[in-house]
Amino acid sequence: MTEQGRGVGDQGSRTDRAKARPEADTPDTVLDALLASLVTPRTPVDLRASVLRRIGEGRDSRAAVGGWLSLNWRWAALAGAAAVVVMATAMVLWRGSSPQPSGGVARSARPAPASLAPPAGPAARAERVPNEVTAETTLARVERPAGRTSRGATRRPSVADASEVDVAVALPPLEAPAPLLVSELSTDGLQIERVPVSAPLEIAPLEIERIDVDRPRIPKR
Amino acid sequence: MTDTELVERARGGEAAAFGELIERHQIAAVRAAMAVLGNADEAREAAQDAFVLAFRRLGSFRGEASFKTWLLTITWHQAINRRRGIAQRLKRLVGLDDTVETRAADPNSQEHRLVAAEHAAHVKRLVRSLPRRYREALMLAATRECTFEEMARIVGVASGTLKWRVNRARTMVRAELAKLGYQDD
Repeated sequence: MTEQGRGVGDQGSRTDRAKARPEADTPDTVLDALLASLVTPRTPVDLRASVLRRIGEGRDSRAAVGGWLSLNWRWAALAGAAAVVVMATAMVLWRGSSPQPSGGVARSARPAPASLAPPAGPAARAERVPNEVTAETTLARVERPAGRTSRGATRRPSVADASEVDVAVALPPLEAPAPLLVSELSTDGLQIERVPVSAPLEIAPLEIERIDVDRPRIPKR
Repeated sequence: MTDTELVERARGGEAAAFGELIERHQIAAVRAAMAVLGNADEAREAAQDAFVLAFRRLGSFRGEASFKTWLLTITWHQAINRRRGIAQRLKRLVGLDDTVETRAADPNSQEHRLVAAEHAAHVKRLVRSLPRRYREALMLAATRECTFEEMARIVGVASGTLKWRVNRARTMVRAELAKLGYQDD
């Protein structure tokens, strides 16, 4: 490569260029010179001032941001803590004011037919529990508002004395002519399973409310 | 003072040390950028961006390659990113650059200068018509700032591949020039 092909901005030393030449084994040609001219700026190159200025501006801006943050991090922490307290208080208040679900069975239940009605007398009651709980007994005994815990999660029936019982649920007349057994409803994608309960009182109305009446599988009698 | 020493000082926050590195390598950076961009002004901008980026990344420079190679690698990628810009594409549609010079011609002859200018214009056109990978390799080699090994590291290909691309590009340009009646040398 000839010196003619080098631009005025060429400030490298001759020794460096000679060392760095990749094509030292090929002779300089007019083509080489022309190619070199394509990558040679025509005016002097002086990037030092502009680059250092940009670097300095970057440092300044970072320093400014860092200083602002160092001054305000305590305030930011206080504000964050205050926001957490406010949100927690609001949650507690909201929970306290929201209505608790009431017993759902009462809305849809109807008296059970005589065949499923509990027998009278203490001996009969002893036989009945834990064999079968009718809608009537559910209505009569489950007075608690809903199966919700303080965290809002649905409370499952107790399994303290886990003897399984079939819970008879009375559905609206149009949906089912007779009380259905939950154990039979639950096998076909319905919401209530055959739940182990210790006593009828532990059956949460909310659970009973979940029966999908669109697809009841009515047991054949 | 070596580049490595200057890098160490620059890492310590000594702006003058980095300024010295800029002085040493700014031409190489601009040339490398021109190899990609083909435009001197764009190349200066890309080189400037590369220096700023290099300063911010000085902590990641481990000395596996020379500072110059490391810097030119950054410059190369900055230039490629810049080329991808829409504005740059529009500029390239309008006209590539104004860097072709006629100083290789005999300045004593007006006719010679005209012939040389025409020759240069043909070369520029032929280079621009090359596939990009060949063009970039040929232009990077034309900067004569690096060895083939260094150029290969910058471009991110094997040394043999880069050498082959350069020779292939040169052969293609020469063949086309020969068709136009230009004989090299």
